[in-house]
Amino acid sequence: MQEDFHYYATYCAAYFAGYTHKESMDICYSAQFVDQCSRTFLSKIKAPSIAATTQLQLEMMDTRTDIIGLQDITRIWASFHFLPYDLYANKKGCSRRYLAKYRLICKPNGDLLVKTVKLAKGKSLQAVGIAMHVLADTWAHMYFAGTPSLVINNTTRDFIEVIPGAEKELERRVKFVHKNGTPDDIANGIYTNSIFQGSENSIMNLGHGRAGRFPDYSFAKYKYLPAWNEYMEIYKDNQSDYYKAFAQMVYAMKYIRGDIENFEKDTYAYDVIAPYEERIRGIIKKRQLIASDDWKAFGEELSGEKIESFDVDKYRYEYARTSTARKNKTYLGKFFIAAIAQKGMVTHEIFESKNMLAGFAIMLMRRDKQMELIQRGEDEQGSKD
Amino acid sequence: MTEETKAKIRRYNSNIAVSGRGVFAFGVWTAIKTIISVMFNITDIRNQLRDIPQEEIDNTIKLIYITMFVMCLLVLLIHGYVGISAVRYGRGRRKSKKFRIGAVILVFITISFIISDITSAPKAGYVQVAEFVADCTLLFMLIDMLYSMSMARLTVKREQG
Repeated sequence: MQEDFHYYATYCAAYFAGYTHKESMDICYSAQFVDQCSRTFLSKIKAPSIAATTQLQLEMMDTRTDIIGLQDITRIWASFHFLPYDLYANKKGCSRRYLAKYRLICKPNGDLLVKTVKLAKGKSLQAVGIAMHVLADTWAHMYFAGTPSLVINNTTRDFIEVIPGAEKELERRVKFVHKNGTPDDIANGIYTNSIFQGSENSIMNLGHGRAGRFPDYSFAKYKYLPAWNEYMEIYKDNQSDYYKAFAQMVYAMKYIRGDIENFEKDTYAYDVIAPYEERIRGIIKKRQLIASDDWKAFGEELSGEKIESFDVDKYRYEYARTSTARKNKTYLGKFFIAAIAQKGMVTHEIFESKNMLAGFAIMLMRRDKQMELIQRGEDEQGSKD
Repeated sequence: MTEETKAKIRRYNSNIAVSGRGVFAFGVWTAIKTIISVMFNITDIRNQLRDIPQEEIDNTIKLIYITMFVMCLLVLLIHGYVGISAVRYGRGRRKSKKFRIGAVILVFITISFIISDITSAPKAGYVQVAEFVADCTLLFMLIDMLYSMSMARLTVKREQG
């Protein structure tokens, strides 16, 4: 997803969930910052590089694609942008190596999503923002994996866009070009995607690069053949998915605030956003490269407050100028703590499923949490006896 | 048409396109191989013809070059026609299946080469073994192409009842 949804739409969702304007700003800033927090940025402010939540294109050009490099890439992308749906999925007649990548395919409403949302409960607003970014991306980036893999992430030339016609919807074959700096021509169906690379672990085969920016356009409806789906076509309706993502964000944040007792998969706060359904669907449906202005206007109407534009350097100087002992109290310090926790959780879960694509992770828990888990285990054993 | 049937037909079409690319690549390789083998052996050929007048040697060499050129052209033409047509057919840009005739001719030619490789096995060196493997691969691709075309047609017929 793009800034329009991660920043402005998340602000709107946070406001719907009951957060104040200031809290919503903190949450939406954190959600958008996930797409900016690269090692390059972290090195400039002398922050821990382990807190990186994204990789710039220039960074990825220099990244190794041996096992260490691949694990590094997968840890970042699978943890924050392509949360795996089912780490224990099975597919007949495939090798273990293929299965490891197949299990990293992102889809919404997975067990890891529940863990992500629950991890943010009782934590900082920055943790909430990170969780909302991850949640939103499970809808946009579904059917792709956060690891470089030709056999999972490749698509064919049979990419059909479904566009609104005068009376009914029309189908139009998409023309892909490889001009990164040129904006997509949505009127004529000319979009940019990554170049085909026959190498399995090429960085060009990471995520939804082969589908271009289609997954990030809320208006897009398209059909395509993903490499993993045995020549079966997938129809992706972003308009419906983005609406669900928005409703689920509201529901998740209501749970995190404590308004709802438990976070369940496949549950949405449609009732909360129902009065604005037409307006929200209108913004999502509108064919435009980025819907920031519309979401911003909607958010400002909701709260009556001004939403400042996203500035990646907003909290940078605060972090840089604070003493080391107090850095964890700064906005960015809290973000980094939450990012490390999220990355650790996802990497640990992938590792626990005997999948080495994200490398090792050791779950470090506070002593009191450890004692709590041990006690719970003993109680369960006692009740069984 | 059910989704499974459409998926099967896509798979067959993909096989046809991939095999077509392979046949075309083999055609190019065969032409290059022919040129290289003549160029490398031209000195030997001259030595074998040293007993005949110089003018006749030159004419013979010219004839060899012309024959080589014509052969390469024929090889490229037939492999190119079959290969490129198969790719276009697999991608849905060509309806006509006439290239199947060319594919069948290539099958018989390839089988004859394989038989010749087998019969010369006792005197075979590494080059001959490599040629045998290459011919078998080409045969597999051609048969796969023809099989996929038949299966795609049968699948559609079964679906239509």
